[in-house]
Amino acid sequence: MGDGRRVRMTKQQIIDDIHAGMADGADAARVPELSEEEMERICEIVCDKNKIVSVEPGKEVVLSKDAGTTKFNMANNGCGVGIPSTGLLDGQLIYERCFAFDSMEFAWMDYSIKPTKAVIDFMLINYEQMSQMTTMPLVMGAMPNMGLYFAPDGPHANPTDLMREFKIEESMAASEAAADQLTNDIGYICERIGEVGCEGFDFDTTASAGDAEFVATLRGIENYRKIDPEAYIECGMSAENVLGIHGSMEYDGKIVAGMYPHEQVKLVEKAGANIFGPVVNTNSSRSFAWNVARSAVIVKECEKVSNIPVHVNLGMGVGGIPMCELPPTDIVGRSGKILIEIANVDGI
Amino acid sequence: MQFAKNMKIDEAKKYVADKLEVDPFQLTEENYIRDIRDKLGIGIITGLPGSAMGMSAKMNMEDLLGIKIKNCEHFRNQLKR
Repeated sequence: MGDGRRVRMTKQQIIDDIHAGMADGADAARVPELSEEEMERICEIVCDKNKIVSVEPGKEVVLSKDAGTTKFNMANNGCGVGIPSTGLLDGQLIYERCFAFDSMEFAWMDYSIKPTKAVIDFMLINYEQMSQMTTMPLVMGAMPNMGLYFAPDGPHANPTDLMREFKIEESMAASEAAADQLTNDIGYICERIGEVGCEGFDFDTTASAGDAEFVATLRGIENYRKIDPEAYIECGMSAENVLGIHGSMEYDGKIVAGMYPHEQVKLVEKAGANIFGPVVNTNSSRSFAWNVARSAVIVKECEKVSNIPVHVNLGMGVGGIPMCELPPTDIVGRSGKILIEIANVDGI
Repeated sequence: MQFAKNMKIDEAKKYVADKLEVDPFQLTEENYIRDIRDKLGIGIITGLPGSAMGMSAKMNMEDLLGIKIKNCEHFRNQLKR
């Protein structure tokens, strides 16, 4: 189930859930439905009796990362395993040579643009040395996380508090002001990381504070691309659709609120990113079959319309994976296989 | 190649395989590709003394793939010779 419980279902129940989840996804995102053959294939993979399920040799895809090596020394509330270590340094090499990762992020433990700005010199001097030891593509990474710019953590009034007081115009103004500040901070960081030959930046969990954050990040990517035409830029999302906290924010003449992955990717592409990371939220009350079919139909259209590689977000609470601390291994393998085979993703 | 040239997975695999003069299918054949990587000096994951890794492996990769890697450029710019 979407909450991590193991349940027993008949084959017919699984088939019914695949159809229902797929239809729900197609309706929500307004994308074409999967074919009967594709849903039968999903059923075959879901019903595979083996615990470890993977793709055929030759069908492997590459991996990029969310939050880099911070998982080593963080506690479980940061999804970490709590090993006293310097994840930023030895962690990079462990990911490269023990886990055979394809690329990695150099990420500050407080994984957001605002706190990273405060420690940028620390990040630069350590990145510069680690770039000489690592072989894989090594980019910096952080969440735009515009929520940190609002009260009580930041200088701008909280838009949701203002909305509760029916101060709609003030709420929109606060979002716009915070978005401008976020774009400026992204610009500062991206300019500084060029000083040490940083290969690029992963904007992860984008639009967690809604449409204004998405626009601020797109503007930040656009500016970064202008100052560094060769930068490696990845932009991953926080949720399947963009929340309209502001409601009228536009990028490239389009209102971004309510956009789904196949629409989001076109703006990310336009801004100048190299890789897009779509999200499909897991419904914790529904079965894995329901959730993964829903993910497949939404991500398939995103991959189809995209001119840049698509690395689907596949982890706790997204991409069909249950919302729990230790995602079951049998589910993780099946999700990956289904999204590679049915949605044709370029990476995870 | 996904980062550097926006290549989708199949195109990226073919590009790299052509440059390494192997079949795309062999890119993930662990033991086979390990020897190719060692021979070409583009880095292996086991600790073999004397084998290229880190910056030296990336510089070899630049030549092999026909790309420029930013931190290799940065490293070259720091050299005073």
